[in-house]
This record gives sequence, C-alpha cells and structure tokens, in this order.
Amino acid sequence: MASTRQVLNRATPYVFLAPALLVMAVALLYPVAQSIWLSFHQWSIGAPLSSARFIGLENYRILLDDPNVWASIRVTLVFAFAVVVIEVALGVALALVLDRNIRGMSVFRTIFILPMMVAPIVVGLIWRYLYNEQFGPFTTALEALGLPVIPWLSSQGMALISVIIADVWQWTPFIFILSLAALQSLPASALEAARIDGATRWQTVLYIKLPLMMPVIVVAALLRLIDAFKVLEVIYILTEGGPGLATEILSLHIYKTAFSSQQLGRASALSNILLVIVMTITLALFLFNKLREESARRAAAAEGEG
Amino acid sequence: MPHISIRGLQKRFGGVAVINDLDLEMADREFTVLVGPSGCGKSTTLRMIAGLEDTSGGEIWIGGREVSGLDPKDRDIAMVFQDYALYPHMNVARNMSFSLRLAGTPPREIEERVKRVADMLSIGHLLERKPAALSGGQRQRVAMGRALVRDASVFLFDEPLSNLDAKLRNQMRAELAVMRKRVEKNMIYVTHDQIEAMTLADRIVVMHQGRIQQQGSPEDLYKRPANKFVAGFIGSPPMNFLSGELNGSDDRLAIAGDGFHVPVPEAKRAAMENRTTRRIDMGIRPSALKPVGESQSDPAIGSITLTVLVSEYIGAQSVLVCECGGQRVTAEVASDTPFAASAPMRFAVDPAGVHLFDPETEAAL
Repeated sequence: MASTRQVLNRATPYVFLAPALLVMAVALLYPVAQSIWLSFHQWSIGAPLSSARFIGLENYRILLDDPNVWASIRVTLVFAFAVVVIEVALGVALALVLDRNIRGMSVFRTIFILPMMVAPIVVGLIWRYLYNEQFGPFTTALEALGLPVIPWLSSQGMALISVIIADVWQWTPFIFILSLAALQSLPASALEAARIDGATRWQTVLYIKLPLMMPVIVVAALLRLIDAFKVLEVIYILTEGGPGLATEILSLHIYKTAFSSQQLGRASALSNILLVIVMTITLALFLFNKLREESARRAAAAEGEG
Repeated sequence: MPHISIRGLQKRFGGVAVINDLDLEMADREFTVLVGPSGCGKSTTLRMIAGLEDTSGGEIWIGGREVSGLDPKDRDIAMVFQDYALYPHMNVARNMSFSLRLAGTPPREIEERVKRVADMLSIGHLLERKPAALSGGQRQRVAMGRALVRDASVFLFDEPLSNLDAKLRNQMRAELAVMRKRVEKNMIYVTHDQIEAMTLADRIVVMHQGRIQQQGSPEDLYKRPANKFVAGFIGSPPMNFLSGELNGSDDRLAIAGDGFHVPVPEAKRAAMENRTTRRIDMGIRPSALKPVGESQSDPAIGSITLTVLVSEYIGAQSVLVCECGGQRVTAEVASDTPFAASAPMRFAVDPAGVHLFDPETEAAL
C-alpha cells in the first residue's frame, strides 16, 4: 500500500511539529485571546472569572476619554524614540571607534557590553542609588565641584531624562555589538579601494561604512524600539511613574490599572492598545524598508531589460 | 614623468621577513609584471607601493618623490583588486566616479570621463546597475574602469584575472593587452600565471621567497634564465631537469646520465672545464626534444631515451609524459607522432636548447 505510506511520509513533519505548535498555541495564543476577551468585560482580581460582566467597548471608551492615558502614550513615545535615537547614535559611534586591532581591545569590548547582561531590576537599583539626592555619587560630585544639585528623579522635567539616561546606559551595548559585527564583516578590499580612491577616514565612514552597515542598524533599532515600548522594571524601581505622571509609560500604567486599581478588563484593553501601537510602528518601518528595497530592485531590473 | 624606483625595500611580519632588500627600477610607461608562486611576496610588494601596507625599511620613489610615508590617496595611483572590491551599494557609474566626486570634479566632467571610459570598456549600458547584478567579467571591467577614470600616473593590478574562468580570462587578457597600448601609463601587474606575465609584460620580474630571482623581457627570461627556479617557472609546459655527470673532454665533452648523452654546447665548454665537480643539472625545454628513429645517430646531436607513460593531446601538439632513469620528463611533439606506451623511445636533443645549472647554487652556468 504505497499510498498509505505516502500519506504517512507527508504527515511525518507535522507530527514532529505538533508538540511545539501545541506549546505555542497554549503559551502565546491563549493569553492574547484571553486578553482580548477580557478587554470587553469588567472583572476584578479575586472575583471568580464567571462573574465578569460583558460591557462591550466600554473599557476602550473610558480609556480613550482618559487624559492620563493620553499623557502616558505621549511619555511612552517620547521615551521610546529618544532612547532609540541616542542608543543608535552612541552604539554606532562606539563601534566605529573601537573597530581596530589594538592590544586589549577585546577586554574593552567585553566591558562595554556588561550593562546589557545586568538584570533590569538591578539596573534600576544601581541607578536609584546613583541618582539619590542626599548621598548619591552624582550629588556628592556636584556638591564637591560647588555646582547646584540636580533633582534627578524628583522634578517633573528631569525625571524622564534620568530614566532615559539609565536605559541608554543599559542598551547602547546592544547596538554596539551588532554594529561592530556588521563593521567587521564589511568587505576589506572595498575599504582599501576607498583609500586608494582618496577617501579620508571620515569620508570612508560616511560613504562606505555607514551605508553598508545600514541593514543591520535598521534591524537593531527596530528591535530596540519594540523593546522600549515594553520597558517596565527600571522605571518602576526608579520613579514608579512619578513625579506625577512624568515617567508613567504605558506598561507601567497597565500594571497599575491591573494590580493597584484591580481593573483587569481595562488593563487588558490598554495592553491591546499598546500592542496595536507597537505593531503599527513596526509594520510601518518594515514596509518602508521593503518598499525602498523593492523600488531599488525594480529600477535595476527595468534597466537590465533595456 | 613618473618613473618608479624601489630601493632596499623590506617587509617583516613579526619576526618573519617576507621581503628582503628589494631593489627595482621601472621606466616610465613600462608594463612591469611581478610574477612568482604564492607567498613569494609579490602582492605584498604591490601593496607597499600602493600604501596599503607599511614598509619595514627601504624607500619607494614615484616620479622623483619618496612616497613610503604617504597615504595611498597622496601617491597618485589607481589600483585594480583581485576580488574587484566594488562598492556594493553604489551603481556602476557611482563606483567609477567615486574618486572624482571626492576630489570635487565638476559633475559635467565626471559624466564625460565616466562615459568615455565606460564606452572604451563596453560597459556603457551597465552604468545604472549595482555590482550584484553584474557577471564576473562585467565586474572586472567596472573595476578596471574605476581605475582608468582616475587618470592616475601609476596603475597597479593585483591578480585581476584570477577570479575569472579560463575562457573569460583569456579574453580579458587580450583586452588588457589592447588597453595598455591605448593607456600609456606606468603599470605594475601582479600575477602567479606565467602566461599572463609573458603575454603582457615589457619587463617580467620573477620573485621567489621575497627576493627577485631575475628580471628582463619575456624573451630574455625564456631564453636565458638566470637560475633553475626561473627556468622552471617560465615556459609551458615547464622545463625538464635531469641530473647528470660531465665526461670526456674538449670537443667530446658531454653530459651523460641514465639514458641520455648530450654534448656540451661549444659556448659553454670553457665554463665546464674549470669546474671542480663533475656533477651537473641539465635543463631541456619539452619543445627541444625531437623524436628520432632507432637507427639514426649523430654524435654532434645529443640523444635521450624515454619511456612514454601518458600522452596529453592538446590539438596540433601533444605532451608526452615520460620517464627517464626514475626522473619525469615531458616532451612536446606533433600530435601525429606515433608512439607506443611503456616502450622506450629515442629523442634528439639540440645542444643549443640545453641549459646547464650548478647543482649546489642552482645558478645557470
């Protein structure tokens, strides 16, 4: 019975895939589905789930009418774009500077990527200590120099900047190692050709290195952007979203809605809103990149036929 | 006009010397080919002339200027790389014009020069394409074009044809030969392929183990190799070497060994008679061996008896791979020459085509 055998053969890969797919379905799809279901209900933690009351789009209506939610979205956008821009600029610059074979450079590089390996909670604690306005090192240093003390975490204007600095400290290394890897895989002879063609070091960076690194930089920036929208621990430890709502990014707002206000339905609705924002931005960047590549390819193809 | 002069050039990597005291003079508009086996230091020498590699000692003069401390961009050179080294993100026109754009050449002039060179290399229709959309041969032309638009005074080529397949390589070699007639510049060309060297060069510089073995015109090197290395490197198929002994004297002086007896050419007799040792190495080009019948015998002409192992048919000629007293010998004969495998076969050796080498120093005698 060859046909039975054929069917079995064709089914084999799916049989092997099944356990993984099942785990994925349970671990990934179930929470998302649950969160969507929950966002149309009113439910508090502690009460049995069967007591959840269907209220349609009421959660979404309340959220979108709430000025605090809009303030939180604004803070999230400012935070995410600020950290990504600064981290990309610093990370790429560091990679360009440290891409050379000097003795001890490998030690240097290892030190540079250490912050990335520290647990976020610990990063929060380290920076809370550094920013401490009575005895923190920053304050001590400023006082020693006779400069005015900066209210790192207690002023409305300064808190978001302080939080951004901590995130930049932790995640610049991520851009740095990816950029360094991209740099070291550049074609060596093209760089030599640029030297022969008369490019200065700066011109080589501008016209040869950066353009060739661009695909890697774009992906790294995208990963950071997605991550920046979801950051929670460091800010929670540093400011708990304060002072006021100055650093209350969306994930923190969701956390508070869920566990302080105990409104899980509304928290679910808010996390769905965050999901939509992140997905929209990611897709937009992805499509923009695809379109650019596509138009380049079409231009080449059209020229090839002619 | 630029004339390149290299004096006492040295290069060491760590403690290892790769170039030892290299002296080389290249006249203006000369096409110089540095040739040698892998690791002989030819590419390193070229890269030091280009300024891509630091020197460990010595001087490099280009057109009356000592350049060994200068950046590549200040040496007035253009270079073609083995792997083409095109900028992957730029189209052909932008690849070719990169140096001109950096130098701030007016756009109209850039366009004109790129077009002129592109037409000369017949790549005018490819100007908008990215390197990834080009074939190997086309990339090679673009690399050549990028060097040519520069109008530099010295052109450097680092094995530019070695990434091409055999057919394309022959075609590009012929085009290069045509191009060098049109572009009257000082050109230095590195290759490991002695055929490229022979066909392109005004002057061939044979290198081995970081030293110049011999330099001169292709004909010089072919007819009067200075030592065993050059003799074996130049010419295809390569020269045969046989160890033998001198015997007899005066006009009966000859080199003899297992299966061969070759009179010493008159011009070399004096040099032979002063030698303290009787041992000698003899070099014979495969084309200097002529098959003769068993009965024919002429004492003025040398003879050698070979056992044919294999015949390599090339076309008009065949290369017979033979054996003579345990040593491998090749003979280049007309394809219609009859032969029997594994049977002894007699060849005449023209004494004029015989090269003699000292077995100790390997220098030509």
